[in-house]
Amino acid sequence: MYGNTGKVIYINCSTGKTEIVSLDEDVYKNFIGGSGLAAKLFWDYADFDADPLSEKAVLILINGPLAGVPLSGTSRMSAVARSPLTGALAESSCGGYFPPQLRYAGYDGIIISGKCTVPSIIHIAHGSFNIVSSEELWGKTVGEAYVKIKEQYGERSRTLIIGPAGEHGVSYACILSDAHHAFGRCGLGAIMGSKNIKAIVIEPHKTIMKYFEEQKVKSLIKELTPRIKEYIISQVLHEFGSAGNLEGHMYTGDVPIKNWTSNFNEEMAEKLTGSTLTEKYLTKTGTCAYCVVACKRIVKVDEGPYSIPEGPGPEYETVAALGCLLGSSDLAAVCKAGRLCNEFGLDSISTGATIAWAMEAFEKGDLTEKDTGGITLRWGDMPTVIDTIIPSIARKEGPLGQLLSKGSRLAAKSINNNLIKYTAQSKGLEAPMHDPRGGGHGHALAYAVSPRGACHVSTAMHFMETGACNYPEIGFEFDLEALTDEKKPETMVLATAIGSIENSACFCQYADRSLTFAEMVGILNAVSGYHYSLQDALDAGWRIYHLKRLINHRFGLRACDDALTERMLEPARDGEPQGIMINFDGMIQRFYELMNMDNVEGVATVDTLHKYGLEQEAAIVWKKRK
Amino acid sequence: MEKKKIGITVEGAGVLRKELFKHTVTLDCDARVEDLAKKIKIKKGLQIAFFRNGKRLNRNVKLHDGDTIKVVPLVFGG
Ligand code: SF4
Repeated sequence: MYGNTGKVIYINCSTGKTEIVSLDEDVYKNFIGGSGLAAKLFWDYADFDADPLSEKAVLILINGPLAGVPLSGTSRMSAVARSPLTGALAESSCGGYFPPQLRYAGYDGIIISGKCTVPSIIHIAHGSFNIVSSEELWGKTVGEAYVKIKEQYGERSRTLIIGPAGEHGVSYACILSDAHHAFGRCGLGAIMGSKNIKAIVIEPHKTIMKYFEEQKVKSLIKELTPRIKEYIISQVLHEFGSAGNLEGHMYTGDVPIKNWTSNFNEEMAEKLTGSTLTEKYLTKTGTCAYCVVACKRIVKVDEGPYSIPEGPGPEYETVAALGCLLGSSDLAAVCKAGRLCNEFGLDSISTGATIAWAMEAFEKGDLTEKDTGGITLRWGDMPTVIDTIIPSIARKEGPLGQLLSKGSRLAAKSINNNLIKYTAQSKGLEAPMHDPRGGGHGHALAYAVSPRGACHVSTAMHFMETGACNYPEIGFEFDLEALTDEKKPETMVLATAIGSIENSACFCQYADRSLTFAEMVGILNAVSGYHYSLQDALDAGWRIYHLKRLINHRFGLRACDDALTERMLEPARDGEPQGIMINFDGMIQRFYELMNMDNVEGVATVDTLHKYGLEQEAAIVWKKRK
Repeated sequence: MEKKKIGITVEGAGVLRKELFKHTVTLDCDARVEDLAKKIKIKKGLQIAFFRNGKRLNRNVKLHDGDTIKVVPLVFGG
């Protein structure tokens, strides 16, 4: 086998049983790796009746086939499970330095089931792995645990750690890699916590990679690296971070403000944008393994109520979710709130979105001090957000902490179903910080049909609609107008395949932007020997997409769950997109037709599933239906 | 006879803030957005849009003396 090692670690934390699962080349070829392969293993290993936080639930982490190759944006991995936030398939991708080390250790991934009797870590060293009790780490923040682990296992060890939020089962707790990079979305940290696993630690291993075409890989790395570095988007990301164009997004109406009630605020645009972050608080840039883009921010706030020591700084999503969405233009406060989310191990998007929902409900009188335990919620009140709300969510403390730790959909339902109208989510996953009403109507479709819920990175629509990529070799040469539905369902068909490929081959969606589709497939073939034609690669992408929808079907989701909330579809109240309606129903209907999906069951027809080799999976889902 | 001139204040937004720091551009009195686009220098490969009072302008909109025009880069992302 090339690129991949063909071996996955299996650990049952309840019984202590560990084994190495060997996978056939065909499984890799059919499901690529990363999120596709993880979804396939989830199908094989999951107990579909298990509660996401129960002992029977599984958590699966799988490397991309390119992890360990010294090329920018390719050393990443995906995690998959059933989400405690949505009840649907959870998936999240992460870069950093852990994925190549796992590959060099000889493994492509880890399947974790059961529950340890005491808080523990999974330790991987010299190619072997075991569970080690680590009660002393429980209760520690991500940063504190990181320091302790480094002391014990050495400076060069790499880590995946959960914070107090994961330990307490907050439904949108995340997993941090080396206390900076995150498996952010869908509550994967809570699942790790429910297994009593505080961390996964890997010691450095010797760099060994076997490529299918050694010389070709080397020449591709040589050719692509300078291009990736010089690409305009890479330069912007390096200099200003992913928040580099918040100001630009603001003018197009893409940034949701005050819980999606506004699409324009000039003060926020200026004060929160990436260039301001660079000028005021950036001390240096950070990066992921082998990446020349180095988009990560290291920041320090020297003085004032929001002072923080040098450490990870906010990305665009964090700036918008903990700034614009909460009605604050205080960048120092955003840096501190973001840092707190990191330390507690909370997804900053769901944290910001859930607090924003509560602020609006409180303002309208639908949430009262009785519900919040006497805490007053006000737009832009960052001292309360930082000192009270975020810590109480992370520890599920008090009525407000308990309420908001459920995420916006469940929190709304638990007060009054009517309060769903203030949420901005799909399938229970809070939407990212790109408002389809201004960012592009295709985003609305992408959020609704993404298997994990409202998400702009599980498909490639975000980049295709905003003109960040063009793939003439597979028929994508549309010059799309953002604020219409024209050609969006057709684009979405390709976007599902491309997104699946990106998340399964685990290309970083920033670093790979200057690559053509043929180049992505070319590097995949040269490393892994998949022998994909462009069509084969697209088919693998669609296969993965349909499999994920079959998984969701087994969790009870149907076509009607491919929906957006009232708030996301009402005409924007101000800014560039003011008053424009999204033709959501038309887009989704057409997309279902183009994808041959049943508009009640929400999965592909039997014939379509057979076309992608999903006969057994189709038989289970469609038979169950009858 | 030489055409009358108008003064337009140009402000770069986001990643163009440094490059296009607030400054005045002098154009012919019948100038349109397109003429302004030709006059300012932007990094190669960067798509841009023009805004006046928060509203996007297409390239054939006429400019007026004293207008403040935001030049917004259309970089995806985040
Ligand atoms: S572009 Fe940024 S997120 Fe992507 S691999 Fe490079 S450093 Fe990591």
